[in-house]
Amino acid sequence: MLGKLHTTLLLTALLLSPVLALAQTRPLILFVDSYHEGYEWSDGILKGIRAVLEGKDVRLEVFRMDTKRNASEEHARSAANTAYSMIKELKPDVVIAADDNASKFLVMPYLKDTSVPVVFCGINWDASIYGYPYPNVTGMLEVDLVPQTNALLRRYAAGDRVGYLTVDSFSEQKITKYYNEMFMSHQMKLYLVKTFEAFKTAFIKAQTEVDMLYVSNYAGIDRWDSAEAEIFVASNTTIPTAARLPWMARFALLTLAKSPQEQGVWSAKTALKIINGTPPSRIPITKNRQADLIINLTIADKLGIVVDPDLLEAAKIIRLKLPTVPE
Amino acid sequence: MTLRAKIHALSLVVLITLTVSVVLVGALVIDEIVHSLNKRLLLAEVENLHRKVEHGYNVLRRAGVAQVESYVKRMEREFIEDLHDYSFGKTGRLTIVDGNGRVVITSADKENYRLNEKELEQLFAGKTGFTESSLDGQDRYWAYTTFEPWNWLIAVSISKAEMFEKRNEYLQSVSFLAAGILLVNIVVSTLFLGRLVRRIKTTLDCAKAVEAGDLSARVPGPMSSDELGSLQTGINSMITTMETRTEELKSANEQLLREVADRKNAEAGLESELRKTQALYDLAVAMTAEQSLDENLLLLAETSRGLLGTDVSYVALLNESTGELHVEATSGIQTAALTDVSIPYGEGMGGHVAATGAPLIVEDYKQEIGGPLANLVETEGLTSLIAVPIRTGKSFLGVLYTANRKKTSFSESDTATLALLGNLAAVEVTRGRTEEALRAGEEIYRSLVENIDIGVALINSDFNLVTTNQARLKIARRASEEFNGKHCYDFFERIDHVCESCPGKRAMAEGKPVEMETERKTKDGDSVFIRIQAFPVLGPDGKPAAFINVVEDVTQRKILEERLRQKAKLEAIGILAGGIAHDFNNLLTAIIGYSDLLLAQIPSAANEHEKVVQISRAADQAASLTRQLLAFGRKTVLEMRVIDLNTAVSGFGNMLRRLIGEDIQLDTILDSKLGTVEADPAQIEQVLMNLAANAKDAMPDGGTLTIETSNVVLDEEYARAHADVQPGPYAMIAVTDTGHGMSTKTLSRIFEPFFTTKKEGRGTGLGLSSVYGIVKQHQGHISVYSEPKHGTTIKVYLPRVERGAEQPLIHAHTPFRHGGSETIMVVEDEPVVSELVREVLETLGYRVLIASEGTEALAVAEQHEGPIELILTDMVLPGTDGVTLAKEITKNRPDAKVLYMSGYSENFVLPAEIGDADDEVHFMRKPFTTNVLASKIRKILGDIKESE
Repeated sequence: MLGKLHTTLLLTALLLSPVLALAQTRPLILFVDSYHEGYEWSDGILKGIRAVLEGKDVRLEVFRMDTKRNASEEHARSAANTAYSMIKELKPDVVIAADDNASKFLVMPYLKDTSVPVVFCGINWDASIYGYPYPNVTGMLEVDLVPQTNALLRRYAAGDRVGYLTVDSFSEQKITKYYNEMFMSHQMKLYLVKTFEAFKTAFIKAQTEVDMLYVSNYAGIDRWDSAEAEIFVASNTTIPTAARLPWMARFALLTLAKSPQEQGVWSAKTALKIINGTPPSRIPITKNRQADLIINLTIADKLGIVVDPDLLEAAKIIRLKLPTVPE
Repeated sequence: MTLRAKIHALSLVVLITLTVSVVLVGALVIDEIVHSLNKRLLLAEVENLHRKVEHGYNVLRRAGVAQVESYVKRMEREFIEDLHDYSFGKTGRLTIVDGNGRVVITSADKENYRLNEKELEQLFAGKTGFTESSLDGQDRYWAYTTFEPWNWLIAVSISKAEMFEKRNEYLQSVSFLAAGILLVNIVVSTLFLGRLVRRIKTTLDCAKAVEAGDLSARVPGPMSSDELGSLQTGINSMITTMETRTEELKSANEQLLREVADRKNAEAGLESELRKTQALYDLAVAMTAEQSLDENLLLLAETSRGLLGTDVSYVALLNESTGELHVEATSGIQTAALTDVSIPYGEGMGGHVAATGAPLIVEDYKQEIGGPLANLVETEGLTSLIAVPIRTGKSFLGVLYTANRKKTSFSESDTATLALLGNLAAVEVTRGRTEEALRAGEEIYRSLVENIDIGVALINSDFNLVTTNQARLKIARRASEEFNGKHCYDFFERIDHVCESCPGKRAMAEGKPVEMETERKTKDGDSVFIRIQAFPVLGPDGKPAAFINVVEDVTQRKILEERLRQKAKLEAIGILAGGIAHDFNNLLTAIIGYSDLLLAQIPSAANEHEKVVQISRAADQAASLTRQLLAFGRKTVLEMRVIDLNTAVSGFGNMLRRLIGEDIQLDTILDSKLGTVEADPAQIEQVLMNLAANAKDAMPDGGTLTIETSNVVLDEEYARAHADVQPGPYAMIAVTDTGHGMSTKTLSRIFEPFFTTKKEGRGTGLGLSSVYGIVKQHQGHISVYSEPKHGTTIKVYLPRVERGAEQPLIHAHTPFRHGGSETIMVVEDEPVVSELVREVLETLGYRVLIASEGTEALAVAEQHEGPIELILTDMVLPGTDGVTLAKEITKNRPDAKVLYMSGYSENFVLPAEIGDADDEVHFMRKPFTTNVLASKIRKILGDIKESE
């Protein structure tokens, strides 16, 4: 009996050994995510990567730095160090570094000018702050489609004054800087808040101070309550509002959301190009070009807007399920 | 009515009937097609509009506002704006009516066209369909459908006139085309009939001409393939047959007359042929006698004159190098104008014959040919000539001419006779030239054998010299007259019999070449090494009757081979010695270091103290021996600087005097213009010291030691004779003693390590071998000249550089032993050394981090949180080297200083980065004492901080 078992194990090992050897020789892509699993943007990028790599003869490993939930710089440095150890051990053929913290804490200090090819994505507006490009690095910038959003808002706005309400964070400060410099001639009024209460106060204030308002991101706002925010926004919106992130569509009239899948698809295709022999230095850094239009008809009704047929046709329509408030 | 008129009329009727029928049938078919197509077109158009409305509805439905009036109104407005400019053809109109009969959209307002209720009911029975109407005096087609969700009726109409507009245009075009075709047909048929009548007339004219006796008349072509064409061809064929028969009769008559004349001529020719045969026979016999080519060509020219009865004959032969024909023999020439002249190829008669290879007859040279010899031929008065080629196979050799001064008609028989003589001339020219080539070939071979630098001799079976060349005599230092009738073994002194291993004897016995190398003494007593190859020469009976000796002087090659062998032996010993010395150094580092530690711990009065001192001294001596071994093995780490050898010699003078003692006089002759060299000054001192010590030992009873410097250029020739020398400028130091000198045997071994002529225990046998190693490591060259009882000169050559000498380094030699509290990382793969260093440094108060190789060192450096002030690393580490490792660590720790140590380095010249701004070299040779280690570290780290 034991003899039989031994023979079976031996045969299985012999049969599996070429398979295991083959798995080791397949090219490896390491996806280093600045944030955590369950964060919509990161999940979207990974979804795009997996869609491209499906059926391809490559391996994919994922490492999450989790710097959204643990925002300290110390944590980011430690996570980057762990990622670097992983790179030394696994020796991936390409590293995909998603969002700013992966570039700031991993690529810039550890991988600059090394032989490890890197594809970054999700870097807001300007990659030069991380010293890009390096000879071993290329990537896709993450830009908002600001002129297009402005044009849509103007269809329903009474004037030209623009406001921008968002969490007070490094990324958002960087984004508003670019908005103001590149598209708003420094005329955009900023509302940077740290708490939900401050958000509500600023929101109401903006209704009278500007003619159209960007509601950018709640991630990082203390004590945020999305259900309450929906009711609040639906009750207090008097001017056309716009969002740039898909999860903010619940709080704005219209949303022109960048597609994380686009970032993921481009990164994975570029990684495959590098594996097939194109050096990163020959692949120029690019920007995203796609967006999803989402229209919140609950807010449109609140504003008394009849949305134009061309927008209705192109948009994903949402309606808020608000609880009935007794009179 | 003529035939032509009838055919015209018939064609016209047929064509008109056909054209009208095609036009009428076409019109009916087109009517049907137009109606069907327009119906489909209108239905498709109305369906398109239906889809458009449905799409708008779906957009609202998807957004959940299809029933919201404001959105429906907004969409309706969108349609009104979108379809306001709707058009379909020129008269196409759109009408949309809602369920209440309200016209929602119409494009008919451009012509104020509107439908009333009654008309709506009449026209649109059912939800979808196709109909016709006649409203306001205009006939229209209608297609319509219903969009049920909104109960909208969508209708499109177009006027019938527009629908049939294209049909009418088509019928008009077809009518014009038919009329055109009819007209063309009339013109073509008129032309065709006219041509037919003309052909019949020409046939009639031809028949009339033949009847009148003109057999050359023919019906003119070209003939057509129809019946009339066949008739004309038949008539022409019949006339040709008549003409041929007439010609045949004339020809038969002429042939009869010619045969009668030929028979008369044949009888006269037979006699002439007999005469020619006799003359040719006489010529052939005469040419077989041993006469020169020129004599035979002259005989041939004279015979041709006799046979053909001509005034002049001459032969011109092709000169292959110039490509010209040159007149070689003449007969009957009066003015000598035609002798010794050349005819360019391709020109004149000869040129023509050369080019075509065929005989040529010229009745009047001046009129017909001209050419380069025209003036000469005129001077000689020649008029008629024949020329035939002289050739063998395809090779053209020349031309044979014969000529008359009066105009003559030469016959074919004359040409044939001359061609026969041409063939005889070819045989003669070939024979003559072959003999000439043989004579020239013999001369070439004789010259070759005489001029080559290899000895060649033919020797018979009695070993007598038959012949030999100058090189063979030169090898043996002999003159040619000394060898008449001598034996081959007489070539060299001391041999008076056939050599036992004689290769010639063996070659004859074995019937195949035999080769050997041997040493012989020349007449002058010199040794020469020769390589002999003997080749058997077969006699008429097929057996070896003699042999050829090929002798080569290989003395120089032998000398070079011996030198190379000697050099290779030294290289091999060097590699061995260097390898051993490296390991010794690590061990000695431990012995010396631990001895130092023990000495520090044992009181100087204790018995053990002296014993440890003895261990330390023995280790120092071993270290000195190891240094010499490393020097010989060329594995000393060199601290290269640009130096002046004169300074080195002068600075060394005092020590030298102490070394050689008072019985020996020291003379120095220094060249004031001596060039600089790049060298390690300490190693140059070692060279001078060893050479001086050697000289002293050679002069036990006193003498003179001379040290001389000068600039020398070793040229290409010198470099060829000494395999490892690069030609170029050198600075030379010559050390000469007046001692007992050395034998050749001793000389050949003086650079071998452990070879010594001194008594046992007096010498290490490493002095000169280390000199050799140091010089070679400096890319230099060393030569020795020695004569027993007279003395020895050893010359050291070092490559000159075009740079000024650097200032000598001033080392502070004050030993001090001082510790500190800094952190030092020690990277050393030899555990004994590593442990020793740790112990010493920790004793001195330093904090020590240990790593045995590069990767470990990087990890230790990364993990260590505090500062690392100094990295003390071996130059050679497993998988990397000290310099690379230090660079890697100092990337993240730029303040860390580095100190290298080595038994020897793979890179035996220190890299430029091993040093600091003060020219302090951060390097320690193994073995080192603890004192040296402590002071070197303190010197690099600087003064101890006050806080410490």
